[in-house]
This record gives sequence, structure tokens and C-alpha cells, in this order.
Amino acid sequence: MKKFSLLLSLLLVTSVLLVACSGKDEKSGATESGATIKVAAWNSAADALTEQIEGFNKKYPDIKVEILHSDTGYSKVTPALAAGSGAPDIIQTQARDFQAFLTKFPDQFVDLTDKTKAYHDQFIESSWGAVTQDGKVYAMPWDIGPTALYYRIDLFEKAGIDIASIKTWDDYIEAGKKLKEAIPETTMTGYTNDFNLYEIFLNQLGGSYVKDGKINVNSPESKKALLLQKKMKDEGVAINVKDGNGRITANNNETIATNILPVWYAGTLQHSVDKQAGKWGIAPLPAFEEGGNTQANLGGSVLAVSKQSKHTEAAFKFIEYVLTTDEGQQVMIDYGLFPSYVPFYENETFKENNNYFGMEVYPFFAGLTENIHTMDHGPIMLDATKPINDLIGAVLEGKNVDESMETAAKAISKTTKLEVNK
Amino acid sequence: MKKTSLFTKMAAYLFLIVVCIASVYPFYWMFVGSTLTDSDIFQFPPKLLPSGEFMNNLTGLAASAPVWKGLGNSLLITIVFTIATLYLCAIAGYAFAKFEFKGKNVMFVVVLLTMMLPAQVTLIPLFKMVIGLGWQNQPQAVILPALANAFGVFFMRQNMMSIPTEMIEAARIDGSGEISIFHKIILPTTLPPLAALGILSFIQQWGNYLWPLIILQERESTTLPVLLSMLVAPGQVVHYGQVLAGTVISIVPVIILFLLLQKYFIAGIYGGSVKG
Repeated sequence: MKKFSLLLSLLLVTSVLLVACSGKDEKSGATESGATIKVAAWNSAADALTEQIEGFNKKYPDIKVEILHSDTGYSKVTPALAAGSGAPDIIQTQARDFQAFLTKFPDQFVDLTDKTKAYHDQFIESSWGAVTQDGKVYAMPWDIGPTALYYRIDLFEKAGIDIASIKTWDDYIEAGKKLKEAIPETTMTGYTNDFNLYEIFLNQLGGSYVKDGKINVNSPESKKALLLQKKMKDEGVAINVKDGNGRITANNNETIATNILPVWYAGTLQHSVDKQAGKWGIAPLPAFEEGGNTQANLGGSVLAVSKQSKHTEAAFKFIEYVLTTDEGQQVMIDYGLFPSYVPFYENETFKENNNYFGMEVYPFFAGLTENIHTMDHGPIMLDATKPINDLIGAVLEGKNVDESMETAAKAISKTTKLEVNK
Repeated sequence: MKKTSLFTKMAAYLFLIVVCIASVYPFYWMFVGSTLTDSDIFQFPPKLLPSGEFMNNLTGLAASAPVWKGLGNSLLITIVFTIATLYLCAIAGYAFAKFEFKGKNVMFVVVLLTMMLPAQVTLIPLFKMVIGLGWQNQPQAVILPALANAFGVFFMRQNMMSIPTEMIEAARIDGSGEISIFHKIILPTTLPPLAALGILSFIQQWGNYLWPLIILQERESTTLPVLLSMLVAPGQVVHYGQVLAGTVISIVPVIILFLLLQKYFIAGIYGGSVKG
């Protein structure tokens, strides 16, 4: 019995050790034949990149590519960047967060200025802003999110609203009231507990979060954007749908009739609101004043090369293949990633008709990209989420706009140490 | 004994029923949701009866993420971790409870102090260490760091304090060695707290998210919760039916374990509270 229990404890210890040692030998041989590059990306972006490997290896059989599925909160890449070791070769970030990455992790990203020079004219002009710091380019723009008005054709008809007559946001609000009168259980649109709508309005107005290196959330454009959302809420044409899931529910139940969102929402509607096929139309955003700008961007991401990488050349070749070739972008568009690479807009796949909307969706959005304002997010976006959400919440509650903007600016200034614009 | 009136009884039952529904409903709906199509999930009022989409959701999930591999990884990590942690915490707790040695109190305080350190503080040093050891993407990177955790040691010590020292002394007089005293007397008498700690460790490791997310970077090597979380990202099509089907799978082991060890669990939690 004594022996038995000794044996048992020995077994336990060895089993732990065995687990500790297993797997080690599988790895060692990998680096011998050519370079292996690791790419951290999330969700369907990562799926798209995984599908790219085959085509990439036809061109570059010596470079092995591994895709690491990460999370949108960056918990997976930030420890490696902070620790200075263990980072993947290529890192995806949201376009609006990239400046913050450059500031928080200085000297962690490879200068791509010379390598990207040749492509400068082939990408949407506004997409370079997010990846450039002090005139140097540190990442390649991937996708963008040109924004439009998704609207229910049938409900608009029922309420007698002509979409062509909605030229400004004021027209939009008037149409919303008309809709409410005709169909009381349906509201014009919904907003979520984040700053999506604010950012769309801000970008449309040519405003920015940071200007000349100073916090700019207290700008006149910011005030205008906040007041428009407040007006929509106060006039009863916009309801709070809480989050993306709440929005899907609201669409399915016809509690809202329009969505002010980027190109990627087309995919969500097709997939999660599939019973309303043929009932949705897409129109450009209303302008702030007649003849004004009707274009805005929300979202989009970039690919950067880590300085920890031992194969920066190979890493850039992969980025080049997936983002600046038709083969590469063809895969991306299948995953709903709208390219900022303009030559692809002439591709046949890009022009395909979409049955859900009964129109060529991508060419339509491509027409909404030329006048998008470059938006300076500054290095604050990893810290500014809460203050900006609080700001919107305060304004919607009816608090003084100017004071709320100052409070938000001060809160952001406290964590980022940036000055506030006067 | 005073007889409670029918009214108070009914009120009590009514309250319990409401609480019961409130706590069971999310789980019930998770099961129902896993059998619906994505657009049915967002129907309002919500559908309350299961439909037939479960297998479709499951195959879709298996196609978009290596769930079975993830389930295997989760099981391997959690089971090895739970068994090893039980053994180590028991033997350390025993030493602190029943042995007198120099520096015992100081050592015990040091062990307890590790409990006060927030996990975020140790994250980056730990990351550097594990990367330095070359353990990225390997199960021991998740199993080893939390093995002899302070809570487990403390919990076992408190429970073992109530074992009569006379019992151990009697065994010594009869000629038993220290190791076999531990295995033959101490371990069997502390089964209830071991079961309780086992369930706690199992649940903790099973739901462990941040550390596996960071250190197990390959999809093939990561755990089920991390895999499931990666299916959801803003701005992209999320297949909620698949996510729910995955969640259903992920809670099955916990439910089985709890049902098996339930009677020990309740006994064990209160074990240390009254000294016998």
C-alpha cells in the first residue's frame, strides 16, 4: 500500500513534467527552410488572411505563413509589445487605434515609408492619415468603412416618404416624424451606446479628435455632431438600441426603419435580417446643409510590421500580396472587407450585383469614398473611449454641451498628457 | 414548533419560484438559442421552444473554428491542472497546518501575500518568463503558473487544522512514515474540502480567459472559451447560433462535474468554518 501511494504521487509528478515537456520538439525544425511569418488578426479578417496563404505560397513558396487569431481588444498583442518579445511579425489594428499604438509602443513598428511610396496613389487618400506619423508611414491601410443610409423601401413607401427628397439631416428628421405618424410602432433610426454615430457626423463635418497634437473634442464640429444626435433623440426620430445585437433585434422587429452605418452593415443585414431581403435600399448620407459633404468613414483596419520580426522583408511581401493585388483583394471582398486599394474597384467581382439589395452594393460605396475627410484620431483612442461615451451620454441627457465637452477633454488629457485645444 | 401560515408559505414559494426562473432562464435560453437560426435568435418576443438547428449550428461552428481541438485542449489543461493543484495545495496546506518549523509564519504570510497581488501586475513579467522558456502555445504555459495558488493552500490549511493531531500521532507511534500518513490518513479525511477545491479549481481554469488568450496564440493550441470569444467581433457577421452551440458544449463538463461532486461541495465549503 505504501508503495502504491508512492507510485501514485510519482505518477502525478511525472505527468505534470510530461505535459511540461511535450510539444517542444514539434517546433524546432520550422525555421530551417525559409522564413516563417506570424500574422495576428481577428475574426473574419483572420479567416480571410488564412485563405490568402495558398495563393501567396504559389508566388513565394519559401515563405511560410501562420495566422494567429487574436481579439479586437488587443489583449493578445499588447503584452508582447510591452515586453519587447514574443510579438507576431504582422499585427492588425483598427485604423483609429494605430496612432495610439505608435505612441504607447515607440520603436516597435517598422518604418515602411520607402516600401509603400509606390502605392501612395493607389489607396484612398484619407486612409494614409491613420498610418503616418511625422511624415513616416508605419503600416499599410487595409479596409475602410464608407458610410451610407440603409433604409426600408417598403416602410418609406407606406409613410409616403420620398428618399430623394431627403437632402439634409433636417429633411431626415422631418421624414422621421412623418414616418412615426404613419407607422407609430416604428422609429426612424436607432443609436447604440458607443460613439459610432458621433464619429460618423464628426468625420462628415471634417472634424477630428486631435488637431495639431492637441485634444479637439471641444471643437465646433464636435458640438454640431453632438447636437444633431441630441436633436434626433429629442424629436423622437432616434431610439437607443443599446448595442449591435439590439440593433439586429430592432431591424428584425421593424422598430427602426433606417441604419446610419458603414458598408460592412450590408453583410450583417443579409445574414442576420435575412427575412427582409429586397426591402432594404441604400442611399448616401444626408448632408448638414444643402449641397454639403455626404461622405464619412467609420472603421477600417491596418497591417503593421513588428520590429521584433526577424523577417521584415518576407512580412512586407505578404502584406503587399494581400492588399495590393487583385488576387488578394478578391479574397478580402468575399469576407466583406471593403478595400482602400482603388484599382480593385474596376474588378468584375467587385461589380457583382447583390441580390439582397438588388443593386451593385460595392460600386455604390466606392462612389462614397472620394471626398471622405482625413480624420486625425491622434494617439488617444485607446484611452478616450470612456470619456467620449460619457460625453455623448451627458449631452443626450440634456446637460450643457460646452461644459460636457470640456469635461471630456480634461478627462482625456489626464490619461494621455496631451494639451486641450482652446 | 410554530406553524407557519399558508400565506407566508405561499409567499416564500412564490419568491423562490421567481428567483429560480430568473437564474435558470439564461441557461434555458442558451440551449434554445443554440437550436435556432441566427435571425430567429433576434426575434422579439423571443422564441421559447427549441427548434432543429442545433446540428447545423454545430457543424457550422466546427467548420469555422477548431472547436473539438479546443475542447480537447481545455479538458487536458483543466484536468491536469485540477489534479496537480489539489495534490500540491493539500500537501502544502498540511505542512502549514500540522508541522512546526522555523519561519513557518513568515512563509505563510508570504504565500498569503501572493493572493493580494492583482493578476494584471504579474501579467507582463510572467509573459516574459514564459516566452523565455519557449512555452508559447504549449499547455504547461497555462497549467504551471497558477498551480500552488495561495487560495488553495490557505483553504486546505484551514480545513486540515480541524483534523485531530492525536490521530497523526497515533499513526506515528504505529510506525507509519510521514508520506504514508499524508496519503492514507490526511487525504481520505479531507475528501470533502478536496472536492470543493477541485470544483473551484476546475471552474476557474475552465473559464480562464485572459492568460490563455495571451499565451496560446495559435488556434490549434488554445482553449474553448478563447476560441468562442474570437467568433464575435464588431463590424463583422457574427453567427450567434454557432456561438451559443459552442457555449452549450463548453458548460457540459462543468455540469457533469458538479452533479458528481455536489454533495461534497456543500460540505466542503463550510468545512473550515467550525473547528471540531
